[in-house]
Amino acid sequence: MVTFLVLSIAFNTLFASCYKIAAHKKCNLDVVNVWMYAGSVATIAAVIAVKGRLAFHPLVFAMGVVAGVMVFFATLSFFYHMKYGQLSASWTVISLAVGFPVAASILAWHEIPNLKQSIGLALIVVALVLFGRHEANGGKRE
Amino acid sequence: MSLFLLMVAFVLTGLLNVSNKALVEWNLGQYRDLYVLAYYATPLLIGTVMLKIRRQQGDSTDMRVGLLMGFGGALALTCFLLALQGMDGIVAFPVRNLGNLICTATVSIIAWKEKLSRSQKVGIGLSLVAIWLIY
Repeated sequence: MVTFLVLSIAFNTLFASCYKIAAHKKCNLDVVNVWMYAGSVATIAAVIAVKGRLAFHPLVFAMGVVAGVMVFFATLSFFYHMKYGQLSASWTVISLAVGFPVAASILAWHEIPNLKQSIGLALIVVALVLFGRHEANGGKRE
Repeated sequence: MSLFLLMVAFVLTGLLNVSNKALVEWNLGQYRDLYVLAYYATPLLIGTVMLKIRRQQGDSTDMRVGLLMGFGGALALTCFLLALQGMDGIVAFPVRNLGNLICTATVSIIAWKEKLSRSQKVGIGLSLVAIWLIY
């Protein structure tokens, strides 16, 4: 499971780095986003083709569609906000959304963090704010 | 209006993560390919329609960068759903978040020669301590 988590972080880093490339090359982000969704669909379609089967479940399909609508509007809202807002604060706020699944894990699925984990969770907020502060300063210099 | 949009993005991003967790908790993990397919096909449809309405067109660079991002995004989500099958949410979500932060900062330093400020160095240090504490 740790291997999958590490792989997830590696692929996410590739994903985030591409945003940097897109900004650097002054790409049209609306168009890039649509191609990104196309690339994702092509990738998962390739995975399904290799496996040779796709199990269907109506609830999962509905969850995927609802999540897809949320992905679209979350991205759209963030980009529109970025036209007027500050990257550092915005990115920090979005990163803090990790609080939702953590809260859900504790409240809905009764995962209880021990003392060490609780301190670690509190440190996340501090770390994210520090990153945000750096980006704000860097942005002003640039 | 701008703050409202940020809040919308914040809440939707949080709910997306909860949705990923729910998929695993409700023992529907074996349908993850269907979930990931619908997760990306839906915004592809909406986005394509919106591009047509706005008559926006990109170039080959937009396409290449987008496709590469899509490759990374789909595999990142698939791997994360697999990781969630065997890990607590209180561990997997924060570790992934902080891991992304550290790795992206490292790539920025190596590839774009970005300099670390003192606060960012402290942020990376705290992130590593947080990962150690949570894991």
